[in-house]
Amino acid sequence: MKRTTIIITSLVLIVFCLYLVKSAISAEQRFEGVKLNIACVQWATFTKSLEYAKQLGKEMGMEVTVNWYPWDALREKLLLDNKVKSQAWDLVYVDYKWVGEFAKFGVVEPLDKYMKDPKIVDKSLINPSDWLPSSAPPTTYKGRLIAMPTGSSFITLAYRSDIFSHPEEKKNFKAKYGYELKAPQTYQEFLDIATFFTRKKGESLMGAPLDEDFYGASHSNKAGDFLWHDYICYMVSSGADIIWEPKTMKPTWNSPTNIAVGKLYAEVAKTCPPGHNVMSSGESTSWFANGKVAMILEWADRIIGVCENPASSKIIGKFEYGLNPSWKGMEKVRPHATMDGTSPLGIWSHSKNKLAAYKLLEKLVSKDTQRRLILDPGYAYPSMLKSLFNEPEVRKRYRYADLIRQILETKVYVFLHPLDPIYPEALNIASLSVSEVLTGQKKVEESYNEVQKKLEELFKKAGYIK
Amino acid sequence: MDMMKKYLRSSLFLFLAPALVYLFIWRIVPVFYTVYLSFTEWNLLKANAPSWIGLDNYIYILSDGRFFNSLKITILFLILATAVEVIAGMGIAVLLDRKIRGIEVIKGLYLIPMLITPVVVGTIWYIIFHSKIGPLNYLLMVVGISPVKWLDSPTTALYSIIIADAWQWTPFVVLLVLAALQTVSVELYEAAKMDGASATQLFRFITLPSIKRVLLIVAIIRGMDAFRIFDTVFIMTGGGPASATEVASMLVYRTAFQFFKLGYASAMVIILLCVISAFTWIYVRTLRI
Repeated sequence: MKRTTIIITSLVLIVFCLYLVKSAISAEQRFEGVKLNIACVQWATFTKSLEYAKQLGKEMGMEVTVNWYPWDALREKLLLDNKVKSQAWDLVYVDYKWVGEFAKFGVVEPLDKYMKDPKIVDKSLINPSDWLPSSAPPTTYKGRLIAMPTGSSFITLAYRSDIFSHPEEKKNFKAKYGYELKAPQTYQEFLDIATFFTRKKGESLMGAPLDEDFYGASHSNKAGDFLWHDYICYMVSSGADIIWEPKTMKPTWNSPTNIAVGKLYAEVAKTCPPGHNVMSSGESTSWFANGKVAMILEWADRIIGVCENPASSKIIGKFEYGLNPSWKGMEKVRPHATMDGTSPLGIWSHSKNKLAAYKLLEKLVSKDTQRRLILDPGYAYPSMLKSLFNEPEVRKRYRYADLIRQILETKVYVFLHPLDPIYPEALNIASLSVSEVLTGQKKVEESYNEVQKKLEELFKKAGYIK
Repeated sequence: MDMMKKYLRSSLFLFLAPALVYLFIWRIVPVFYTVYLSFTEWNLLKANAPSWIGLDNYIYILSDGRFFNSLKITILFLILATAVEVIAGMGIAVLLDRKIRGIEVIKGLYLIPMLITPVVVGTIWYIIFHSKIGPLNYLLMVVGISPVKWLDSPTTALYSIIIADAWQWTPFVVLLVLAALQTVSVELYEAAKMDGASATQLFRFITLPSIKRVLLIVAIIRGMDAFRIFDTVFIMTGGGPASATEVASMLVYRTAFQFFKLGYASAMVIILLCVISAFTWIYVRTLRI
């Protein structure tokens, strides 16, 4: 009897151990042979992170293929593929301006289905409580997370600290404007400083004659999203609506506040380099990196990737990061308004491999992967994990880490793009309006009043207003 | 004999049938479908099928300033680009129509731009015209001329695109005009020279009348192509700055594939079709082809 008991107990234990081992192996090997297709924009932020995704997928037994598309073409492609219920994709890039459309037309699947299921989620890999507070909201639609943030990059001020701290420049600025030269706290100060530093070849800068023109600021004013990302920071900080009043859905493009924003923005544009009205963010950042501009408002990852890269920057060690300016009078209501770009990836709603896609995302956003990624010299995109920014190696790699803490402590106003499906079309119309002003085709009031009528017609046709 | 005729007629029809079927399915049917769609509202994302709205799209177009702006830009582009290409093409063809050593090689080299895809042409000229890194502004500065905002300014952007288009398609005009010049009898020139005609008179009274029909046909072909321009504009300016180079085809593309309003885009297409047909008819009637 005793012998029998021992044998049976041993057998049970062996079977149990085998079951545990099998479960552990199965958790990975159930994805053996799975082929995952990712549709993504070919931005520097993704070229490295999706290399890691391929490697992670390989470790899980998957074959991960990335298909690159230009940003504006990707939206059209995904919407059309969704219409025909194509099964071509498993993970797709979800720009936060597309969130409303993608959610409404069922392009991607909400992630809470996986994240709230204890049988699926691996809490050792994914910890939303460690995310920056601004990471989830841009891709949350009606309370459901529809795309996973894989990084974080705020629109940030960068300015030439060497110029700003030069004694002669400080003295001359104070004499002219009556206050100390420092990182601008308001957009009005931003304009003053940009105007002050816009100088012609031969004029003096930091006590030496310039061998070419120097500019006070740089904005990427190419009509469409490039212009919009710069303009919207001014607009939101002033208290103006983003194109329409959210409760009544009535367009407010020609509101007195937005007209004031348009006028100030047009004045700042006079201090920008030539060609600014057809510049993309990359071109605008490279002007700053080449030491020809005093200040820039740009995505942090671009500044880190270009201006802190010895191969592309002439200003390493000569610039500092700062919080975005506020609008005078709105400092307490919308302090240092900015956006968080989170490089979101969503699960394609017609994918045959949704679970595999989710598990790959989990691994990609895990602390271990994020740490390896953001310490990779070829990567410039900060993480959305708060705890990483306290680690000494990360702080050393990213001077920007201190700004993240400042953003958290100051509780800057982080705004979202509207999630309504009409947004892309309304944005297109509005950005053309700003572009008309910047190219001198129309005055601000004239353009904004005309566009207000166009927007009202658009909203009436769409049934939002009568 | 009757049987023979019948047999020949049936054979003729059988041989033509594949081409006729192709033409019907891929040319005629889409036109009729587009006409039908122009009377419907169909947002591809929101609805699975078009819904009939009668003339609403056309009524809306009448008040659509953006459409009329794009039409104005397209017509301006058509007239200027066609004029430049035909005049320059004719001049170059006359210059190349001589028997000198190496002329065949020069002719071959000159035709290369025509073989390059419009997207590549747009990219090449985007770089050439670039304010900061473009060689054109650099050369201007070397000779003491201020840099020009070729693609940045609404005043110059369209002309910059015309230059790129002319660079690519003038060789096409040269090719056709050169072929036409070969049909002009040499004796006419000899007789005129014997009568003391100058080079200008030879050109005006012999060459030009002889190639007039070909010039007309070339102008119509280039005009129709210029009306449809898209790739070069898309690459060089994207329709900007603001909407200074937003040609009609770009607006149709945006309406159909960025805003997914197929009904409205179809109405625009039908109106553009009517405009170009009217242009061609007036042109042909005026010059009596």
